[in-house]
Amino acid sequence: MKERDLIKRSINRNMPNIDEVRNSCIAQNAGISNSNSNTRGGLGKKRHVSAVVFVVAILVAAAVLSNVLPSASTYLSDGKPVGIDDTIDRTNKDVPPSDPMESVYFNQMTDEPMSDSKLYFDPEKTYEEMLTLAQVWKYLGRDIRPKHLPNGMNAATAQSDEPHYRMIYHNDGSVAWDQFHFIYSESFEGYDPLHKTLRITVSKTTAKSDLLYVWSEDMNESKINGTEMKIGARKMSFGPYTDHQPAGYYDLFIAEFGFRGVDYQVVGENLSKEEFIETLSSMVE
Amino acid sequence: MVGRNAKALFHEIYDSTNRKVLVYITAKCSNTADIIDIFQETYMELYSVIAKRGENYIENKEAFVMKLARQKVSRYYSLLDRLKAVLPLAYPSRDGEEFDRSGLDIHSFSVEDNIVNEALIEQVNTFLSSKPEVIKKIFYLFYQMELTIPEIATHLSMSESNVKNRLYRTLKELRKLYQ
Repeated sequence: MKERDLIKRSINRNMPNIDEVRNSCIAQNAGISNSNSNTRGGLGKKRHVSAVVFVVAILVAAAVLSNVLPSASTYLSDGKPVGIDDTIDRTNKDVPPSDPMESVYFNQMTDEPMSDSKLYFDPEKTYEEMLTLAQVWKYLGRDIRPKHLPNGMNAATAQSDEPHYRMIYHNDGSVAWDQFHFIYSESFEGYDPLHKTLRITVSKTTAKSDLLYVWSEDMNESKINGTEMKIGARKMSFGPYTDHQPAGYYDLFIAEFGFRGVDYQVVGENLSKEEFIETLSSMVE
Repeated sequence: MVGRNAKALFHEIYDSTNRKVLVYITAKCSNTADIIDIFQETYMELYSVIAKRGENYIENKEAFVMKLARQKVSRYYSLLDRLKAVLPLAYPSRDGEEFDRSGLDIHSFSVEDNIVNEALIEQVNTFLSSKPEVIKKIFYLFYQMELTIPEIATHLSMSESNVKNRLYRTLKELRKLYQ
């Protein structure tokens, strides 16, 4: 017997049985109605649902922010509040907030995946280089790290002077991919889905991110320190999964914005809204 | 009931994508023990989408399934956990320590038939289970998914020599079980 076959038979025990999974999927979904199947693409209905979700999200956000976070505003150096105005009815998008420069909306994120992937670079047509942190700052034009972090959070050890920030270039020398990640957490020991974490992704090129988060068509833009942002919130499940049921859920906030020529994506896990907004605010000063 | 066309579409997409999805999940998961669950959840979701939204909802089938797989991998682990798996730091390079591969023919080495039995298969399984996740991934991708060394290197963001060294080192250890 070939060694390859022996190892394959051994490994096979840990891999899914293709036919079993196929049958299982069909069997477990047997009761799902396809009454929506006549909605070709479902765009009209989708917009309607998005609008309802949006209104509900805004109502919930307004209630939460006014009741749970009365002190959720952060402050500019001149003492102006940044953030939550609980006196404005945010359900009417045509009515601007009292101070258009200072408004925050946590939009409910949709649960539908994006339909394409761009994170593949043909090794025949591209090449990569590893940059040091200093080279990254030089490329971006400045140190982009937040001046404020929630209590107890520290930078990942990856933020050292080692050249491990990857850039990918086309063979003609133009930039193909330039996303840099900066990770913060309250702990780097072991795996705990309920740890506070913050991931900042920055890029100078048009985002080619393999994004996992999909924005609603009807989302509201936020402004912090005069910088427009998309801010979203959603619950994320975590494993281990038993009978396809997660062990629990945690809060995830995401913000996307451009500031001084750099695109940002900031993702916070297990942070409070106040902590998330304060961190964002310190990045756009 | 789910329409016959929906089932047919599911079969079509499943047949055309399951290998690529399995490679992706194997490469990106934080723990190879989760591969079966993540794989199944990906296709459960696919079937659910087809059943609820109709056969015309999905435009680019492969891209849609791959996106589902990414979502499932993402939700299975915390963000930090996931990033640890992809950061180059997670796989310290051993490129400088080229492993002596003489006598380790990876493609034609045979094990005596009379000692190949369920117990040996179990032994190999136990041995591989004790190895770091990155080595398990290399073995899964090389032996199960039959990827080449360069392909594995690309999927795991490692150098080819790093993949080779880990593969051959582990093979050398493994052969002590049946030599």
